[in-house]
Parts: sequence; structure tokens; C-alpha cells
Amino acid sequence: MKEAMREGTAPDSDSGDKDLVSRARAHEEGAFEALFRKYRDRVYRVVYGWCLDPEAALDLTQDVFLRAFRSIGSFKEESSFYTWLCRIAINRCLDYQREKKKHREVALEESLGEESVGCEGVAPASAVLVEELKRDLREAIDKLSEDARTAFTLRFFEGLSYKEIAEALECSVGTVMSRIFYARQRLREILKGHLQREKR
Amino acid sequence: MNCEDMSMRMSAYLDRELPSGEAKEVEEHLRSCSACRSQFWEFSRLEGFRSLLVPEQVTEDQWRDCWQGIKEKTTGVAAGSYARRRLRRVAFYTTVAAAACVLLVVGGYFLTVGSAPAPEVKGASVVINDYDDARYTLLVEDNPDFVIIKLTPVTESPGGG
Repeated sequence: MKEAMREGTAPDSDSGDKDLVSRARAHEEGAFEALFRKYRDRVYRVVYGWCLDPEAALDLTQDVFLRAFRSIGSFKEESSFYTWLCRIAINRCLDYQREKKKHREVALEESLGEESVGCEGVAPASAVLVEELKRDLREAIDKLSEDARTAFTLRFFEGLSYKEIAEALECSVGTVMSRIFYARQRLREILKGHLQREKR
Repeated sequence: MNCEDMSMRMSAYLDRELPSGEAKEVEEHLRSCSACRSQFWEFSRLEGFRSLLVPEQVTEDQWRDCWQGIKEKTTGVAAGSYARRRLRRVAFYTTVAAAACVLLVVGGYFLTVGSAPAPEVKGASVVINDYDDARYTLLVEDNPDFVIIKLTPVTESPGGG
């Protein structure tokens, strides 16, 4: 299972967290920084799955840890620290998505009439196809419903198990399974052209 | 189990989230149903697309900046002193520039205005506190051919100018 687990980050990720969390609550020097160091890459992958933009993902990661720092006093330790962080990350991503939607409506009006950038004579055909696929994949993920996208990105980019996703989203494993399935079906429909081409 | 039921299980099978009994059922179904096999292939291929969206590795410098930002925003004292320090730095350089201008104008006036014999003013100086509370002497010397501006740290007596 799960790339992240294969990298050895997940199975023992909770060990020592309790101690670090209580020290961070007491504002002990270096405790929150240790939590930041431990989870920064994983939080980054979660938010990147949402925004698909490396710079924005770094800003969002910073925001997530800021929110975590400010509300660590209210962390009840009913779930793991990482699951709690994931919940903060998802909420921040949903806010980001809503902000982005507003900006996109304005940008869409401005871009009408602008010519698309051509690649003729610059990149070989296969490179152009890959770029096209990347763009379509981003757009396809963007089109997923919030619920489906959240479950799917936690699985697709961060490699969380269904149980971990269920904990983070506070829903049942069955719900996670159906949301991920729905996301795959939608992506399959949207990217049909690319999948057909690969089949040939 | 029909193909519709199978679809969702195929997705979970791909994620290795099915108990072994159900996983075997999926495998058997896939062997006998070409439509589901095709769908399963597409699901698998979508997984392969992930590599296209893998972000570049965040560098240690970027993480350091990220942490610094968190630290500044969460540590009231640190954030305050950083902002204060910046303000004082701006104030210091503005003072240096202003003092240099005043000294140049005053010195230039005595050198160039009127036909009266030039006074014995060879230069002027002023002591300035910098943003770290160190003291500097800003000295402007008028010579017949050139002007010297010196900014030297005050090491002994802080008075003078």
C-alpha cells in the first residue's frame, strides 16, 4: 500500500507525537518546529493535490501549519496529529478553491480574445501530447465535486488508506470507497480521449 | 455479482483495500468479462498519470523560508522586533542622507557665497545613532577641489560633532 508508507513515513508517524504535541502546547522551544519538520512534506503533498501549483502549495502548507499552531490547544487527540493536520489542510484547500473560483471568473473574461500559445515547431509531438494530458488531467481533477476530490487527492497524491481518509473526513470507509470510485469514473469520462489513444 | 457492483470493487481492488475473498472474486470476474477488464485497464492507467503531476522537490531553503514565515507570524516578540528593526534601519539611512545634505549645503554656502574671505570652516560633523544603537560620526570635509564624506563608528567618547 501507499507510496508514503513505502517511504517509511506513515506506519510510525504517530510515535512521539503525543509528547511533541504537549510540548508544543506548552510553547516549548523547538517542539512545534519538530512537528513541522516531520509532517511538512506530507501536508505539502495533500495541498498540492488540490491546487496543483508548487508555489501555491508551499503558501498553503505554511497556512496549514499556522492554523495548526494557533489551534493546537483545541486538538483533542481523538485522532492522530497527522489526521488532524489533514483536516486543517482540507479546510484550507476548500477555502483556496473558493477564492480561486472567484478569481477565475474574472480571469476568464479577461482572457477571452487572447490567442492560445502555440507549440508548433518547438516541441516534438509526444511532448506536446504529454503537456496536453497534464493540462487536461488538472482540469479534470478541478471538475470533481469537493467530496470526491478530497477523498481522491488524499489517496492519489498522499497514498492514505481508506481508513485514514475516513478518519480525516469523519465519514465511513464505505463512503470513502464510493467517493474515490466516483472520482475515478469522472476522470475516466473526462480523459476518455487520452485513454483511448493509449489503448491503440 | 454484476458488472455495476464490480466497478466500485475494482476501484478498491486497485487500491488494495479489499479483503482477500472479495479480491479473488474481482480477479475471477475480470478474467471472464472483457468490458470490466477494459474499465480496469483505464483505472490503472489513471494511476499511471499521477507521475505527470508529481511536484518538484521543495528545497531546504524554501522550507527554511516557510518555517521563518510561520515563526514570525506566531511569535509576537520576534515579529515585533523584526518590524521595529526594519523601521529603525530606514530611519537611520534617512538620517544619514539628510545630515549629509545639510552639511553639504552649509559647507558649500561658506565656500562659494560672497566676496568676503572664506571662513575657516574646513568641515562639519554630526553623531548619529544607528538601528543597533551603535554611534557613528558623519563627517563632511570641504577642500578646495573635493568634498570628503566619512561615516566612522564612535569608539571612545560618544560626544562631539
